[in-house]
Amino acid sequence: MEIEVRQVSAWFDDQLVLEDVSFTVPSLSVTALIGPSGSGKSTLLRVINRMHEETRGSRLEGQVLLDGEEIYAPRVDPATLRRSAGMVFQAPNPFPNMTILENASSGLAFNGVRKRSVLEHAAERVLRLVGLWEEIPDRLRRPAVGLSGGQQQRLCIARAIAVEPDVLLMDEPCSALDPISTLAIEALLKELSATYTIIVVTHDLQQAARVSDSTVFLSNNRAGGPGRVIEVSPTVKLFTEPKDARTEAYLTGRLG
Amino acid sequence: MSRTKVLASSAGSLLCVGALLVTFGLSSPAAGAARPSSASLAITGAGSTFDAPFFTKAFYEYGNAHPGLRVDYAAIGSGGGIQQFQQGTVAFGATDVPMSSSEVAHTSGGPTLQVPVDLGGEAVAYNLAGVKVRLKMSGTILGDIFLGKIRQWNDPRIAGLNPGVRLPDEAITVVHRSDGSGTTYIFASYLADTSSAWARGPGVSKSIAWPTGVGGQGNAGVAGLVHEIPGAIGYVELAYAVEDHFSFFSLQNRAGNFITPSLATVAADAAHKSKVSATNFGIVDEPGANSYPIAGYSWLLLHQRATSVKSGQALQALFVWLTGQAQSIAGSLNYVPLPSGVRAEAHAVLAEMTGPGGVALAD
Amino acid sequence: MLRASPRLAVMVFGALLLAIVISLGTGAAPAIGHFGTGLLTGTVWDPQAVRLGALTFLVGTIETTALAMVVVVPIGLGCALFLVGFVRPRLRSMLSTAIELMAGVPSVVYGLWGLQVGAPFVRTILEPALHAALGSTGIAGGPDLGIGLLLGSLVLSMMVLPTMVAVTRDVLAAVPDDRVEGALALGATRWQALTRVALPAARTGVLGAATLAMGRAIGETVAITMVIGNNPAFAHSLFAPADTMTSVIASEFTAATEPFHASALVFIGVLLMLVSVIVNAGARLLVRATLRGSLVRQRVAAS
Repeated sequence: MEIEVRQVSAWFDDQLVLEDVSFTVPSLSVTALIGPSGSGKSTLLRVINRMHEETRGSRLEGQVLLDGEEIYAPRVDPATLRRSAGMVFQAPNPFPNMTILENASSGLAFNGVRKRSVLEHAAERVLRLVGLWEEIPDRLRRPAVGLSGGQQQRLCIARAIAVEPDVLLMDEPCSALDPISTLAIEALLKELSATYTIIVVTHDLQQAARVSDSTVFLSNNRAGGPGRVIEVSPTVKLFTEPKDARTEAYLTGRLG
Repeated sequence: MSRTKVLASSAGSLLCVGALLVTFGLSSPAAGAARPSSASLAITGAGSTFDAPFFTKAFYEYGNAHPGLRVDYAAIGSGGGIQQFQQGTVAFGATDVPMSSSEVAHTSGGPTLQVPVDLGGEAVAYNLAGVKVRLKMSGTILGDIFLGKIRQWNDPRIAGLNPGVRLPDEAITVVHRSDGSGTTYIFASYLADTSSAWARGPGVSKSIAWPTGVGGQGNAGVAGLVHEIPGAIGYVELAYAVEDHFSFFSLQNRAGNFITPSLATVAADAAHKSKVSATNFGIVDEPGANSYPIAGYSWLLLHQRATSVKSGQALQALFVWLTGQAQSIAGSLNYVPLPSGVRAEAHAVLAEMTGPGGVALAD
Repeated sequence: MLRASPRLAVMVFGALLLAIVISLGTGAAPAIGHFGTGLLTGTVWDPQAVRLGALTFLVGTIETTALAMVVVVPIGLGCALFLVGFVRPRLRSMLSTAIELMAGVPSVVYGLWGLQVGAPFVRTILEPALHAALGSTGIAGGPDLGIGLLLGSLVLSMMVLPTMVAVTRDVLAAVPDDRVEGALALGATRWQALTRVALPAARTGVLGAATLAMGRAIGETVAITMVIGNNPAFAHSLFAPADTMTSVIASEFTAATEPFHASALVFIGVLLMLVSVIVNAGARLLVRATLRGSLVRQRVAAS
């Protein structure tokens, strides 16, 4: 599913955090969103599945199109939209009151699926996909909070893909994880890119280089200023011959 | 933490606990509350709420006429008045039922004097919106209602007393006092006097084990519930019934007549018993064509021996006035002034007061 | 000094509590000595005949409190969910202030409200409706007085609702945002996110809120005394007048001159204190466990 962001500006209360952001992500690709802290990467990600509006005092201008469909059109229900644009958060956030199986199928349960066999079948499918099914077969009916950080994050990915979205939005999914867990998630990400259009926010430039096809570099000119798109290029190109001096400065550690 | 600080904090906590013990009454009660001082004298009393309006006005006027003397009265109820008087925390008590001999025996501070101080009646109020005429009621039937035997307003026995009145097919709700009360005692005396079933059953007491009904706190509580519940019956002091515009029964007296409660009919009842005392105080259901049957005196509680000659003189003078001249104030406040025979008797009892150790209070 | 202060404070308050227990125990001792276990298990309350058993009042307190909780828990939960999930911050703070004001209204005012507004409502609307639904015998038996067990429970529920809402609101708000957002990002509605994720995560705290409200209901005195009907007998129906531990103490203590009467009332006071202390301590532990748990999770998430 192609994602097109058109002239998006976003505010929290009176503070402009994104200004006139536009770029396009082709279908079935992995796009890395990089940039210094405070450049609005997470906000941009949350604009794409309409989570931005869940924050009190938030405001938005501009358009986001998924396969040409404007997601901020009045007839679009945000809950329905979010099923086609799943999200994985920075810190693993499995539901503490549910078992691993229930977590994996929770999105389907929210969408009205009640039949136990359907839920468990779906849970099995996604847990196999993220490798948890084979890894911890005896703990599937235990609370998810007993898992390691990396396992929890893979469970959250499983949970997100169980509702069969077209887009996966990942907000620094490995920042709370150890290197081995990080590699496992990256491997999974590669695998998923065959089925999903993925945008991943990351601070880890090596990770961006390892997993993404193209990269969007966001930056603000001054601390506290709004983030703008500085450069959008295929990842290899952006890392080897950046077009913009600010991109080069960031990549070489002189910015941000 | 230094040693001195430990000591200081421990002392602080001990002080705290000490204060608490005092609060919870583990310390000895203060001795007599009439404390003579060079310039002024304060007399403190507690008890019956029935007496409160009369006492408040009378003590105010007495204080104006006697600079340097202040009388404070706490209307905490007859039971509370007896308790405070027994413990010696007040100089005088007031109760709607005299203290029993065992209660007197448990009183500290020497022999107790009990003096009739004012007179009142009780009305039996009811809430029947559709009935405009004043209903008649007898003690026997009232007893059966309060026993829960008669439950409907259109019961033939109520109808029999009220020919020509259309009584509704409505449930009767008995309303009684939930707190122990002299008002209850006097009302129960009337029921016991006229209904043998009541006398054998619940009997006469300030706290009754009620066979039926709902309880209200104080006269105001009972009046409020009677007002609130359609079909309710409850007993209240006459003043409440008169002021709150309740319907109340004409009650059958010993002579068989149905009498509406009023100051005059209560006075007529009291007039038939000129000698009352703490052991023979009941005046319910006296003979006489025009006597209203539910009436009773309220009583002052005093220590025969005052804590000093001076305070004894002050108390004696105050209460001689209260049971004499001040009765006109009572008359203006919906009380029945004490009959002259009872006044003389009150003064005779007050004359028995002495100073400490029995010394005379002569002027 | 600083380090030792809390312990000293605990000691002082422990001593105060002990002093209360001792003074109450001393007061209750004569009745305990005279009636033995019958004082707790007896169902007759006749001061004049010196037959005093407190079970009726214990049951009355349990009945009114339980009925009040049946009303308070669902309504309080609903209000708290509404406040946390569906109200803009400004309106939320206005409503929260209103709720706190409600909690500060003196008990006697609720009692007056119960008599003036509650009693006619119960008598003319609620009780006939219950008769229609449940028949006129059994738990809906007896005449429609308005005052009684049902009104007492309703007034109690009005009084403790603010506690339930305020504490539930706080424990719900303490659930980390990322759990709720996690649900929203899966296509859950706001209601689903709150009821199926936030509420279960806060369930210990919600239980604590309910228990705290229950503690208040158990100890409430003035208002319940005004509307319960003060009848020291087991309530055979919802409409029957009854009595609670607090209402009988409030009604009878000042005039308790019969033998052992005052002492038996003090015993009921001891009983009431024990029940309240147990319920309140339980509630506080539950609420604290939830709030602390959420802090730990947030710290782990932030590190």
